[in-house]
Amino acid sequence: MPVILDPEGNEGRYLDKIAGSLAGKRVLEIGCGEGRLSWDLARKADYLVAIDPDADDIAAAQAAIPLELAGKIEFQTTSLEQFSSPYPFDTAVLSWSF
Amino acid sequence: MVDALKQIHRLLRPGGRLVDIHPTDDTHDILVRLGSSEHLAGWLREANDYLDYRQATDALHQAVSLGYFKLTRQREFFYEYCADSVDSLKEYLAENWKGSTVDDRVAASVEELMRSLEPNQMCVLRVPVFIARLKALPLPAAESG
Repeated sequence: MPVILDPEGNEGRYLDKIAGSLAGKRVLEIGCGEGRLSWDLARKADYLVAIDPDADDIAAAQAAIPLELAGKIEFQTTSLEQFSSPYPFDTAVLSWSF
Repeated sequence: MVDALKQIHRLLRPGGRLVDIHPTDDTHDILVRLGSSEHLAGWLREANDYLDYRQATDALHQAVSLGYFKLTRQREFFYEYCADSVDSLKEYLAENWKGSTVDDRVAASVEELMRSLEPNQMCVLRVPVFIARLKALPLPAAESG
């Protein structure tokens, strides 16, 4: 049996409670890894930019983008320090990155 | 870490939100669930003794005290990793959680507990997690000019 992560869905539930509505928001996810939270964020947001310095993780995330989210999500291999954007974000999610 | 929060502040529109999620520096318990009962076997060791998590929380408070953000909501919850054996958990951690260790004594305790005849059993790593929402404030006067 593989390891089951967060079987009760606590993270998503608390993220919903704390973040509030992401509808219509431009969201930045920092430390997205292989996209553990990205799909849920992209479904709720207007547009998601997800960054991580690990190229392998980003490649895995890009390969797994659900069809319905194409055009709503953008992955970039970069550190937060190197990242820049011409447009400001409404919400940033710093997930298990320290 | 405070520099990272300043960078996030620069990337947000004025009044934008930061949601921060990170484990707390409370012990990450390893327990055995037998049916509806739970039995503590020990806790996860980390190379830096949970220092990163403490520093993440401290940095958040520092960014607030410097005037970059206002803390508007915070909660704690448990994030669980559930495995059918301590070996499965150790294997997962070796691949995904650098610097973490399940001590031999804790592993032996898990194995002892899982010798129970209870059919519904699981080895669980329970991580306490802090989640907070912060509002980006106008740049502190000292840095905006």
